[in-house]
Amino acid sequence: MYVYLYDNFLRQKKFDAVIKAVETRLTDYGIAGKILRLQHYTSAEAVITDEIKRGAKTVVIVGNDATFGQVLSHAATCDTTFGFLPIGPDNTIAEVLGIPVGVGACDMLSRRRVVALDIGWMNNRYFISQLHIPPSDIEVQYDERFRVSAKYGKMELVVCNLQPFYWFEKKRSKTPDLVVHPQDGKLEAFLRPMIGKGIFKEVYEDPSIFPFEEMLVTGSKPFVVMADGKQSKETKIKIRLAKGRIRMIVGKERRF
Amino acid sequence: MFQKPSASNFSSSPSFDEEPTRHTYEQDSVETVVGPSMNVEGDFTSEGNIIIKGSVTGSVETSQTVHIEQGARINASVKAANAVISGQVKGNIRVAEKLEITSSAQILGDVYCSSLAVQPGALIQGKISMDGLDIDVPGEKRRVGARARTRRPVEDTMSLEEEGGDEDTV
Repeated sequence: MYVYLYDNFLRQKKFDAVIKAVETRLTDYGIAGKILRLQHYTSAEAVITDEIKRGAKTVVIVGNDATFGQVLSHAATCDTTFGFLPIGPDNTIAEVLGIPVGVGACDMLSRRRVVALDIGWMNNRYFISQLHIPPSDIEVQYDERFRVSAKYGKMELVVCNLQPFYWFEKKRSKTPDLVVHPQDGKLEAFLRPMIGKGIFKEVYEDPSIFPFEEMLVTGSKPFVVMADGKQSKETKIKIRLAKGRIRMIVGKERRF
Repeated sequence: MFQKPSASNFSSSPSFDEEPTRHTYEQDSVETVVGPSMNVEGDFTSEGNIIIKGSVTGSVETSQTVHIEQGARINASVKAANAVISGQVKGNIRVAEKLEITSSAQILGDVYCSSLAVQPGALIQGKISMDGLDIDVPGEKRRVGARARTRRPVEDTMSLEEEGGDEDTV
C-alpha cells in the first residue's frame, strides 16, 4: 500500500493542475494510495509509524527539498521504503536522486528502483540534505585522528549529504559565487576559513574539503547549527555517517 | 567539485613544463583539499588524492597521489603512492611509485621512491634511496628483495655447478 504525504504549500491554487496530473498518472500505474496533508505541527514520525502499522509499504513524500528534509529527518528510524515526488520550485535533491520534477516522477516511482541511502547523524537527530554552521570560532576533529583549525579563527562549515550548497558573496545576487556538490556515498565537510576583513564584509578563502565518517566540532562559545532547515545552538556536536539508513526509490539518472 | 563562474584553475593533464604554482591535477579525482590558511595536526590519512596548500603537522598518508602546493608547510612524514612536491617538507618522504619535485620545493629529510623527477631549483637535504640499482655498493651487503640482480649466463652457472660437483667428489 502506498501513502502520500503532501506538503502544506501544495494547497496553493497554482499547483492544482500538476497535482491532478500526478494523481491521474499514479492511478494509471495502479500505485495511487492514501493522501495525508502535512501541517506545521504534524509529527511526520508519528504519522508514518501509524501508517506502517496499518499496512503501508511505501511512503511517498510530495513537495520540495524542505519537505523531504523535514519528513526524513524525523522518519529515518521508520522501517519502510520511501519515495519522492518533487513538485514546485526548490527541488535540488530530486536531481541528485535522478527524479524528474512533476508528473515524470510517477514513472520513476512505478519502476521501484530501491537503493539504501546514507544519511548524516548529528548529536541526537538525523539530517538528510545538509548541515551548515555559519562563520564561528570552531575546531574540527576528524575520525579521532587529526584536528583542523583555521589560522585566523573563524570558520564556516557545511556538511553535504544529498543537497549541493551555494555560496553567495552578495545577498541579493542571483548567481552563486561558489557551488559545492556532494560526492556520493560519503559525508563531506567543506570548511571555509575567514582570512580577513574588508570594508563592508569579511573575506573568506576557497573551501577546504574533508571526506569523513565521524567528525567532532567544538567551540569555545555556542555556535549556530542549521540541519535540514532546523536551527539550534550547540557547543559540541558529533556528526556521523549512518550507512544505508533509509531505503529510497530513485531514478536511473541518479548521481551515485 | 567546485564550480566557479570564473575560469577554472584545474586542467586535465599534468605537465612538468608549466609553472610550479599552477601544478595541474584531475578535478574529478580530488577528494581532500587543505586550504592555505588551514592547520592540520595529527595523523592525516586519506583513501583518495590529497591537495595540501596549508600546514600539516604529524603524518600524511594516502594510497593515491598527494600534491603539496607552493606555500604549503609540511612538518610530517609523507607516505603516498605518487607525490608532487612544490612546497616545504620537513620529514621523510616515502613514495611507492613516482615522485615529482618542482623548482619551488624544499625538502629536509630522506626520500625513498621508485621513480624520481626533480626540476632545477629544488632544494633537498637528505638521503635519496631508490630501488633497482645494479651497482654494488662497497662495504654494504645487497638488500634482500631489491630489484638489482646479477644474472649469470646459463652456460656459466652450468659450468660452475660441474666444477663444484668435481670438488665434492675429490
